[in-house]
Amino acid sequence: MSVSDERPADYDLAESWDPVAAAEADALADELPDEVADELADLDEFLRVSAELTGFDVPELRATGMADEHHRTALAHRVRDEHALVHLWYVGAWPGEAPSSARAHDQGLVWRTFRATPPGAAAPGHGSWAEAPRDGATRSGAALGGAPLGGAALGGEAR
Amino acid sequence: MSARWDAVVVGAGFAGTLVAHQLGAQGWRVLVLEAGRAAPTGAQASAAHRAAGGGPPTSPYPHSPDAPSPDVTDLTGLPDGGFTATGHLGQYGPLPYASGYLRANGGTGLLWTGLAPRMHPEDFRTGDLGHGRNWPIGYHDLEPHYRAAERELGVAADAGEQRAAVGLPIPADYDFPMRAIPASFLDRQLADAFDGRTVRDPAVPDPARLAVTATPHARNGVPTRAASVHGRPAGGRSAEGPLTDGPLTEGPLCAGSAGCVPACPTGAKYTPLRTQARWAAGVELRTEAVVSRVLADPETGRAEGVEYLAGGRAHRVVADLVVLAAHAIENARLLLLSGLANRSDQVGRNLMDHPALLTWGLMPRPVGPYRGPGSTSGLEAFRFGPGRERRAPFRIEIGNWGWSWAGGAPEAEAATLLAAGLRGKELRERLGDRLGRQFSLQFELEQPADPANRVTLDPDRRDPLGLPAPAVRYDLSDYVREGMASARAVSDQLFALLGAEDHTAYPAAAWPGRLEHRGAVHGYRGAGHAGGTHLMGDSPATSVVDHWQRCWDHPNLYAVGCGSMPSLGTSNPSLTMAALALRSAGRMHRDLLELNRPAAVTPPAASTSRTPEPSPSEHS
Repeated sequence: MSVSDERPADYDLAESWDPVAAAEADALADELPDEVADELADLDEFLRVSAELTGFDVPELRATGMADEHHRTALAHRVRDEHALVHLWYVGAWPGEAPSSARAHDQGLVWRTFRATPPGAAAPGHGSWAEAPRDGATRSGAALGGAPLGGAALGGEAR
Repeated sequence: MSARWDAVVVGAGFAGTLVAHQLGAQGWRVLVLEAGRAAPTGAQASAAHRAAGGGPPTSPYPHSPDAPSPDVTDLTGLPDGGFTATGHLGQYGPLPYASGYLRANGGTGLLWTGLAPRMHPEDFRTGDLGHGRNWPIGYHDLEPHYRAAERELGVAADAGEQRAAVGLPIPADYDFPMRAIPASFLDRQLADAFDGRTVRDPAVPDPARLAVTATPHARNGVPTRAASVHGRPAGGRSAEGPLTDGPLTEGPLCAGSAGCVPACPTGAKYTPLRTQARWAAGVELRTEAVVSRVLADPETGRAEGVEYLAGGRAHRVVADLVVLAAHAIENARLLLLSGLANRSDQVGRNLMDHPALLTWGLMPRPVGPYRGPGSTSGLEAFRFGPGRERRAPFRIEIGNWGWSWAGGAPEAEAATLLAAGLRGKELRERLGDRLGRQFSLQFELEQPADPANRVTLDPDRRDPLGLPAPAVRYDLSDYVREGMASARAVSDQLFALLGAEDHTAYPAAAWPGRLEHRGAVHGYRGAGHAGGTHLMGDSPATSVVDHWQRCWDHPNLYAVGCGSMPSLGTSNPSLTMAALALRSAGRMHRDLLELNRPAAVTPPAASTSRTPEPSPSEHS
């Protein structure tokens, strides 16, 4: 289900977000792009597909506070593939673009894979770096401990 | 502008800010001309850097088009070796000068890492060791000024450890203003594996004993108990001018934001803006004022003022003292543009940096990288001793920020695994496992003064104001390359002691600073420590400035900053630059007193005999 970058630029790759439906969608791509795009216009479906691709479950994705913003970013791009979608969640930016906001950068999942925060985004406290890193499975916003700068900008999404 | 200033200071970075502060505190009227723009707060710069998704350390700061400065991204490695350079600094090889700097209010001091070790007494005598140049003063001449600088910058360190592990002669009654910054978890893992063990440097017969040692920082730690009484030089050596009497601790404790470069978001790291906030009313700052020329009387050699460009016009400023503090490369450029101070033909020569050989890998278990300051501890054993005769000495920084300096920041690692097709839980777990075990070692090598490493005016390139751009010819000698060979051999043994996977590689396209030496490839980054371009000495025939950083040829023209340093040793040089600036400010104050003494007609050359000088005894 990997998607080649060599496909025509107007080819809507939205269907390949859903690995379960990928084979079927591949076959039906020519007939169904509008319907698939409609599905992904739905936030819940966007999150379901994102969870599958990122390895972070839907509550974890929601806890970043980025669900709406990333959804908007994705919908703003006519050509979407799974690489771009994972990149958006992990790095906070569509490939080749700057992050949609400082918050998008700060909430990049890449940092949560090892329970860290991006440089400059948090203030976990004097000497906190002397402590052993927390291990075990990373859950939701736990990696953003301490006293985040910018208050709500780094807090979980209230939804 | 017809007003006459007591002093005009060119450049509002580290050295210029400190000089202006000291003179202003003595009641002198000081004009500071900064070529660049006003700087945002650390919080603003950090947010801008994150909003941009990263970028080179200078990127979140405003760049004046009329005052360009070089950036590390100006260099590109070529696939088959070699490099190309664009931008402000013309690079004529054979190797690249691999550091940037920033022309803005606060200068490169806005984005420095904030490590503030003293130089070792040996470092002032590198000429005697057979490489580079000696200083005209020694450690003991600078010692009281180190203390003053540590107070002004707010240095956190343990005096006992600095004495024992680094061999620094620090007076027994001295406490640094703040306690040492805590060692990182990574430091502690390395200490468990290293402390008391030995490794062999191939250039040295005896094994080197390892001891992970805390690095002094100019970022806020917990204040020491008796700190408030320890700012001034002891033993009656306080005649150097006023020392800072402001509060010892400004800003919050370092809270571990891990963003020191490019900007500390909380203000725990010292930057020159902290000192500027305490400037006396008699100090005036003009930004976006690009000095194009120092004006001097051709008969007497006395500097009369400067010409600067601002708002599309040329302006003249008249002053009793002119102080160049515009960065090692820009100071040299300005002296060359002015045709001054170059009787020795050393202006622009002896350009030095700390080439930083990086090695990096994965620890056996997670170490929690990307937490705390960029480096909190190091290994000191390779800075001193007999090995120095054979190869460049080096200090090893333990890198807390994973592979970021090497080019393998988390975003890059994520992109690599994504491109490899990883998705879902597998991507998350693989990435988390790799990133959580990242660490690096940063070997900062001394590069001795070599007159062939040189800043000149580029005959072919001009900046947007029409001023000739700086050009650099730069190489690393066999002595430095031997230091790299030793560093890599030591690194290999350290990785073995750690049981770490070594991922070091220097592909040509990613490493513009890259060389082959005795069959091995070494890559280096620039540490941003430009020095030597107007070095001090004890003779006008062989040096540009005297030990006060005063131009031999122009008694009221000073050139201050790392450009005055005849050797850099293996210490990050900002603290030494600060100590020198404070020491010179004392001399400037006495110069101004002489000039303003009623009815005293003082021949320039005689001005040094008026005031008793506490140091150095061999040079008054």
